[in-house]
Amino acid sequence: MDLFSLPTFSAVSLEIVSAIILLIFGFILGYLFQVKKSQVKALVREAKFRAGQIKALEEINQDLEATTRRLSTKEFELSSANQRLRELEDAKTKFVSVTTHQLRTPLAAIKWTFFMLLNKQLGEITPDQQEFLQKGLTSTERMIKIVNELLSINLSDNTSDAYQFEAVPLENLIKSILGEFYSPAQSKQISLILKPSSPNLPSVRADQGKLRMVLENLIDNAIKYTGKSGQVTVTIDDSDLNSSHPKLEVIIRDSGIGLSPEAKQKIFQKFYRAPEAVAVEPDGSGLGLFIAKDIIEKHGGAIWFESNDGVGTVFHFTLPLFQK
Amino acid sequence: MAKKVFIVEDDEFLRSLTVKRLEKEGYQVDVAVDGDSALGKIKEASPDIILLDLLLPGLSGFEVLKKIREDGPVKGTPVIVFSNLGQREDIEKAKALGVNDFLIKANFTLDDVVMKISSFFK
Repeated sequence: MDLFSLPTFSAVSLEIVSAIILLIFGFILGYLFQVKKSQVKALVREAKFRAGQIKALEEINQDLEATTRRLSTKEFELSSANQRLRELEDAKTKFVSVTTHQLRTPLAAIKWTFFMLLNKQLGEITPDQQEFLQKGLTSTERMIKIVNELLSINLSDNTSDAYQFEAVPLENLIKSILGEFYSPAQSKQISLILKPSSPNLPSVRADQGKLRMVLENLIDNAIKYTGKSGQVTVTIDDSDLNSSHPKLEVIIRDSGIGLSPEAKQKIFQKFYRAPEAVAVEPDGSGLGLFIAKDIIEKHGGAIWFESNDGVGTVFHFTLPLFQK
Repeated sequence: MAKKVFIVEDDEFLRSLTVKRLEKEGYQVDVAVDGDSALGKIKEASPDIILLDLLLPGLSGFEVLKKIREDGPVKGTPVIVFSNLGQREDIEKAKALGVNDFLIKANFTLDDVVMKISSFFK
């Protein structure tokens, strides 16, 4: 080998080294550049994504605004509908109360006339006349009862404001009501029995007038729908005096026609009359039990029944005790 | 001397039935057919007891009752409201105005009214 060629060799190798360095540098640069490029791409993607999000948010915002507008329109519609309903309800209440008051005046006149004729205050009458006058009086009284029921249902639609709760001695009240029913019971030879209850029963918290309506209705039904020589018993159950909600339970049991499965479903509905009840008494209003349930519930009590077709019916209701 | 009953009642038929029934019982009966004329006629008749309807043309029964109670010679005369108004608030209102009794026409008969009136003279 020629020694002179060495520098040449070294020059060549230097070139090669610098080329390699350049290459490495280029790689690094290229790598760095590549990294930057992917970062930029990521940033762009990010930015696009953010922009998309912002757009989505704006859309959601617009939707929300539209929904809010729709809601306030709906709210307005609802409140005006509500207002109309309230006006209708008021009009209905007014209508029923005016009609019933206006109906009671001529009904009273008819009733009094029948009474005066029947009591021979307008002269002697024949037995035939007496019979028909008696029928006329009975019909009139039935009509007055229905009008009274309509009036009380109209009121009970409203609130329990009209209630005046006081301490009511239940047994005395029931005794006095049973007194009114002895003669209709007797005419069907039905024995009307108040089972003796424990001495010193506490009083219940009740509106005496309203409670009287419930008891009259239940006892009247029991007698009406019980055949000849049947039995109607009233019991006051005091087995629930020591619970956290002490109450008395009234049980009215008859040996009457009972309730069909259909009647059991609907018996407390407004204006419902069971076909078997219509057969016995065609002219009822279908309001009695509806009103009874409403009244008992406004007292904070419960009302229910057990019945078998043809075997009789048992009505139960509870009333909270009067607490000082 | 017959006791005097005064009836304020706008319904002609009810009024005539009531008058007839009370006269049969031996009462002397005077009437007014509306609220406006009632007070003057009552003062003139100076009755022993007043039967007062509530829904009347002109002054209502409540207003008549108020006027009866607020002045003069008939201030202490017993008043029985005899009406077909019978809601609790009507009864309370009449009580607050000083009524002595409250009967709902459709739920009572004239015999009940006679009994009620005679109970004031026992």
